Amino acid sequence: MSDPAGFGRTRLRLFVTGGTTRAHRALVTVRRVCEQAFGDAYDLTVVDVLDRPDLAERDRVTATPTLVRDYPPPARRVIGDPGDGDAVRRALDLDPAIARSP
Amino acid sequence: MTVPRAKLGTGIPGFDALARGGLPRAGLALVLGDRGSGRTTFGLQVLGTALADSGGGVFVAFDETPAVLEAAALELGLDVAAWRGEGRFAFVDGVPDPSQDVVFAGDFDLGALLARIEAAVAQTHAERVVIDSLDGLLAQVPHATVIGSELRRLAAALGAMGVTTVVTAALDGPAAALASAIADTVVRLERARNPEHWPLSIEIAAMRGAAHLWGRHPVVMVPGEGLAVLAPPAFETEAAPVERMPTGNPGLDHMLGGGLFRDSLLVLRGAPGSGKSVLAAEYLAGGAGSGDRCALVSFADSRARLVAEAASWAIDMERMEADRRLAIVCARPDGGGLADHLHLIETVLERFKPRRVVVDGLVALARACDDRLFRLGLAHLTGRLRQRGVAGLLTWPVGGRASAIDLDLMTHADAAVVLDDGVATEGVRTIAVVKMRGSWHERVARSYVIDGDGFHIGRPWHDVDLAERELPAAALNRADEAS
Repeated sequence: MSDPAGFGRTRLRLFVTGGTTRAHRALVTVRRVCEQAFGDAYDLTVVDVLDRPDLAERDRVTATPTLVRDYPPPARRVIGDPGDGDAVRRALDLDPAIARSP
Repeated sequence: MTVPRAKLGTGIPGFDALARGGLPRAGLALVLGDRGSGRTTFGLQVLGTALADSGGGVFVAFDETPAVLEAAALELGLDVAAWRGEGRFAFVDGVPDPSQDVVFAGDFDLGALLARIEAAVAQTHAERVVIDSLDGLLAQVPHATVIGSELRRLAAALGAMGVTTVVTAALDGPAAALASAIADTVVRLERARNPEHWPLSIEIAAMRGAAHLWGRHPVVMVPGEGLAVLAPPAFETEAAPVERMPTGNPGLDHMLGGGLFRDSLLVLRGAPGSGKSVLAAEYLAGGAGSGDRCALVSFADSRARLVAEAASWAIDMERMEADRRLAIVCARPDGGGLADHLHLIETVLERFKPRRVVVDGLVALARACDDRLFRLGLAHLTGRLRQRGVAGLLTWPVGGRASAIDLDLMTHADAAVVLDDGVATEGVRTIAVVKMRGSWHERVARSYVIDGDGFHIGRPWHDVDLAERELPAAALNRADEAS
């Protein structure tokens, strides 16, 4: 089930302020949720806004962490600490119950 | 003893006088105003001043897109696109993309925004940053405590970089409450609801550790330039002049004890048709004849009528214009508020740099606003003339308007001359000098006639003490004491 929706690979970008525990936690959670839902059929780019403020400017990102879904549409942003991952699942239209089962 | 804080000039006319030099350098200034109050214009002008002086600036936009702001700046004569091309200016675009759904999960900070602002400041070598508006940010990120702490972080970071920051917010809104504790300067721009009040006013509500003037001051939006504040004129510090200048009428020079002092303000009072315009035209011709550049600002007549009238007294104004000795500017009194007209006079002073200026028909402007404002405007005008070292002649009618304005006018005036239509002097028209600061002047009224050669002053009219009749003696004494 590498492509559950049949739309091709999910593309995500995660904007973080580098070096913070909040950034680290967000990255771990987003990776876990994605692996559970998509296996390896997703691309996740991590942008440290301190290194690449130009990318944050281009995408008009204000807050960190911010998860941006570029594909599939609709374009969507999740702002804030993803916590246990439920907010990310909801934002990516993944049924929490299904996604959590092994 | 505290060291006075270094100030940064905003370049907004009048504001820096109010702020005793400008905004505290490397500080955070909160500019409060509702939509349409000119808060964005304030920000653009602050940036424009630095950019025009080859500095750098950053505009952080939360309300309007950079494209809209760029057009607004261009209307103020600020070509930010060109400065952007030179790498001296940058927008940080904080207007959200409407096609993006946004979901809030857990805790967050504004690390991305701060990184973008700091990168833009470093890239443009900005010394000024404008954030417009905090309410726009609050609408996107509805977490006041986060914004409050992040704003504090940003202010500290920019302050450490030596950057002066202007943040705008709505009057008395939640964003204002957030930022006012962090800001070291709070400026309020308020629109009046009552049509008899000045439409827009500005007040420095707080300025930590720095001197400024108190109270609300009228503001005008000058098309093509932006905000201008009618600040009270600075106190005169220069010594009284001793050099005299001719009025253009030898008889009047004699009555004044040898002409007016240089750069003095002459108030010429008289009923309509008493001959004020003749003396004013001679004043201009006399100035032009002695090599002074002169300006005539009229709120009463068209240029064609002024020229034709002067020609009937053998004064060739067109010739004076051709010789670049005279500039004639006519404005309809109903073509704007008092503040717009005062700015028009200021523009004439700035562009033509006259040595003498006649302002005719100023009373028409008094009819459009209340006395207090008119007197404020009058004080501003006379103060500006003094600051610029320009001699002025103001014509003023007799009667009709509140005596408070007459008194004010007499207080500002260095010299006052009254023309009387002769109703009480058996048909003999008379001229009298009722005030001449720092000099002897003739105390008697003299008769006069006007013909094709101009204004001719004749023999004294010994029985007439004009000062007593035109203005109550007590009022005149008060005016003298106040001056």
